[in-house]
Amino acid sequence: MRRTIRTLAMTGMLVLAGTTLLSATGAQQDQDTPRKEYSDKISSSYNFRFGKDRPFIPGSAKVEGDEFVQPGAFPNAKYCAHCHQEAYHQWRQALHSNSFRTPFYRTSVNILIRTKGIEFSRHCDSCHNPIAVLAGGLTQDSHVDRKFDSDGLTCMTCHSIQSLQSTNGNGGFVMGIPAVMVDEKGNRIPGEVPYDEILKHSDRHSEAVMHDFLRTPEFCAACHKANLPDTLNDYKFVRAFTTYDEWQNSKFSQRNPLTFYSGDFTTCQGCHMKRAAITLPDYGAKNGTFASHRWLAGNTAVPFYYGFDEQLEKTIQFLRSGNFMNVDIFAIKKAGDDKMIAPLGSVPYELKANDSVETYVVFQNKNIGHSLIPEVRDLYEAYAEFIVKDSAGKEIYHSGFIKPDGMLDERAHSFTNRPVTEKGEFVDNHKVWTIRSVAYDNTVQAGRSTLVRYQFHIPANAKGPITVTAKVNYRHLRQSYLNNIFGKDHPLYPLVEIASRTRVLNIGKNPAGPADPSDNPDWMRWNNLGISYLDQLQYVDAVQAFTEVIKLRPDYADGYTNVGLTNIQWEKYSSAKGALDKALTLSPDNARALYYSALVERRTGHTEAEIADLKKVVDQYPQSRDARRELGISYYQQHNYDAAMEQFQKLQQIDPDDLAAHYNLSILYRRMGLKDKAAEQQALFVTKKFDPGSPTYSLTFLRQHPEISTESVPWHMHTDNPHDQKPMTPMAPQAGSAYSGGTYR
Amino acid sequence: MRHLRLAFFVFVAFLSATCHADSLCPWINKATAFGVLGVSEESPMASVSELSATVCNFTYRDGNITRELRITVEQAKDPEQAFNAYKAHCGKDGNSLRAIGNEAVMCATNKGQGEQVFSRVRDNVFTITLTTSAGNDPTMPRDVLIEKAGLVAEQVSGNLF
Repeated sequence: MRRTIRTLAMTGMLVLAGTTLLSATGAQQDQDTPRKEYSDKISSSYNFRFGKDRPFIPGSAKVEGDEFVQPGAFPNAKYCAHCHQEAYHQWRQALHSNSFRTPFYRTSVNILIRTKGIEFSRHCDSCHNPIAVLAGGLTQDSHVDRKFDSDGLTCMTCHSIQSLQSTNGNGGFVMGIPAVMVDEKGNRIPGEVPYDEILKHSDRHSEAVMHDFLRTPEFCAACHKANLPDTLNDYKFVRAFTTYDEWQNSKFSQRNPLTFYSGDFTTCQGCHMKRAAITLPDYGAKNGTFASHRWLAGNTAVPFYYGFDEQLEKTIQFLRSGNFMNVDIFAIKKAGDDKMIAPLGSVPYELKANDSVETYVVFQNKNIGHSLIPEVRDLYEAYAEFIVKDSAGKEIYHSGFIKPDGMLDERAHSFTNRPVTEKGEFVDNHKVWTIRSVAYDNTVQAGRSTLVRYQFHIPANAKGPITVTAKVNYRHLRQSYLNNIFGKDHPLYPLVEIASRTRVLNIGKNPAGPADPSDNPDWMRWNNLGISYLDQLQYVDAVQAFTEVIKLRPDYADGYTNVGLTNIQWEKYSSAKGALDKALTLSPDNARALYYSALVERRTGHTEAEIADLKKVVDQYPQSRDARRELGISYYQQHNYDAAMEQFQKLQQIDPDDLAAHYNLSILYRRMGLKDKAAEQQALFVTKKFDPGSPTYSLTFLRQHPEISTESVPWHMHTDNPHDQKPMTPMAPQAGSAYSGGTYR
Repeated sequence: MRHLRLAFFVFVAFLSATCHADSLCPWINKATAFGVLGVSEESPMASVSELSATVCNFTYRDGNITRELRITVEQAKDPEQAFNAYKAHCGKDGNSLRAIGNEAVMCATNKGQGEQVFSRVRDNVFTITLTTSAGNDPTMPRDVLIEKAGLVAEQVSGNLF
């Protein structure tokens, strides 16, 4: 009897399990059938130029199920807005919702479509319009209704991503079939569901749309890192931009022991998705606040074009929050006198009429978690403006002005770059597939500083004080690019002053005075000067500047480390050792000092100490790419191939593009008999390595552009007396046109 | 004879390539255009009645109702003047549209049973005319006409940039 009951129970359970399985499978089939039909229809006329199994190349986007997805599978933003009014309101004005439709984007992607073919635009649209890519819309004879274009990255693109690929970018995500809810068993329910169901089971809504990785920098890396693969440019892998890597190397990641300053751990979202009080009802709010879906950053052009005044105002506020850049009019030098008068404000000096003055302005990227300017910096215009005025307000010297035609003074110090083609021509229209070299790149990396030198002459009749002002200005986008988009008859786009500093130089005596509260302390001013010199390969001056830091802060281990690091670059290893030993005396476990000590120990053949120091660094900073790389090299030199391989593999997890990892792993795998893996790494190394022929393209460009050629030299002077300079007229104050971007000071 | 057959095949191949190219409107695809008209591009009621280098005309006919989307694009020597000439069609009823091309204006047409957009992208001047023959077309009330004409204008201007 008992046996019969048990048999019946077992049978019942099996039937139940079977029914559940069948029901789940049935539901899956219900979802899959229309998708398959759609995908088959799209496939029949789709251009599989890069292979049947690679429909989304040259982008990196992937989708679960490997078939095209109906655009209608993505619930639209208005559906989400029913419960998330604040999020919708912010998103509608933000860059993400306008990622595709703006003329600023369309102009360049249209050139790609017209010259190479629409299938190549899958590269750009993997991030700018992933629904178009995954729906199979980017093909010559497209049968996809593109009504979703105006929503760009809609709610259910980000919130449908199921996992991330490596941090290689170009849309390195894996999209799932959009679902706003899961059932009680955790199965995703595709498409829209009634709002009352969501409200009854908000936990199941969260489970469907919120993944922990959404809050990580790696999620942002999926699109805020990009490369130009050979499938796009028929050339080789070219790294395009690396905002994620810049963050990873900054103090905010706390993953890099080599930063000049330390800071609190802050993610991309920590700056660009700050919580703020809600103004509209939103079920996603917590304690009346919501993580911003405006993603405030530098783009003023999109809100200006669309008339999103609120977004524009908040973007300008964000840029001007004063936290990001520090401008320091650090020193002057009088002609014929080698002595640097520095730091200005802290030392007395005298000036005379008719003096020629060199001014040293240090621009510090103080609190940006990436470079100034990040990403496609060839399109942007961040530049230094330097103005000298006499006591009557008359300009004596002006560098970095906007000309009447809206163009920037060619001799301005600009924090941009100039990518060039193989003919040495500037890639003016963002035709990224033609980029072969970069003629110069004057960006300021996170935490670093750059020194810009200006020379001007004080008029012989000058009597009153001279006012010197230095600024960092920003315009999104470069005027010549705006001209390409609209022709020349467009309004002036907003010019935003991000940071500025003014100092008054008296004719006669200038006593030392109290520091301005917004200025960096003097030790940091010297330190920033040292960093600038180091990056400009001025090693003597860098050591002198860092020595001043030590004088002011003898307890500051990094002051000694900076001297040591400069000496290493200068190849003065014994001098470096002394400074680094002192740093380690002050701070025995200091990872930065240990890292540089290891490099000196390698030079002097103290391998055990070298490995021990690097291991200590790796223990403290397991995601330090530099420490992993160097430790891998140390082990390799010791013929400890297993340990070396482990380090390079870990390095590759941190940075999938690291050349040293590709190179060394190709050798190590071959030694280990892993021929396929070796060949794979070798191929990656070959395509990613620097093309030794490419600098010649830059030289062609620089020969044709002497004004930019000067900028490409680390040490250069901006002067009011260039022998080849024609006088230029600065632009008159902005007309009060209602449709003018205006200037924001 | 053999040469004749070869010539015939070349001609057919050329013809099919030409027809294929002709079936595409450069400024909006058929799926989107007919989506605006509320019908699938595969529907027998959907037709492309005119397609040239300067005009695309999409028509939906269902019994008494005819909906039409007409797009014209021309390159103007004096685009500002050309745009203003078009704009004059709207008279004082024209509403300036922000964020369409360099400049754009929209107004009602066809006795309120349609919307027109006149716009300019650099030196290209384009017009969008979206009409319905039904006085009270349930799927094309005025607000929907306005929204759809705007969507088409955005598609066309986007492709002209």
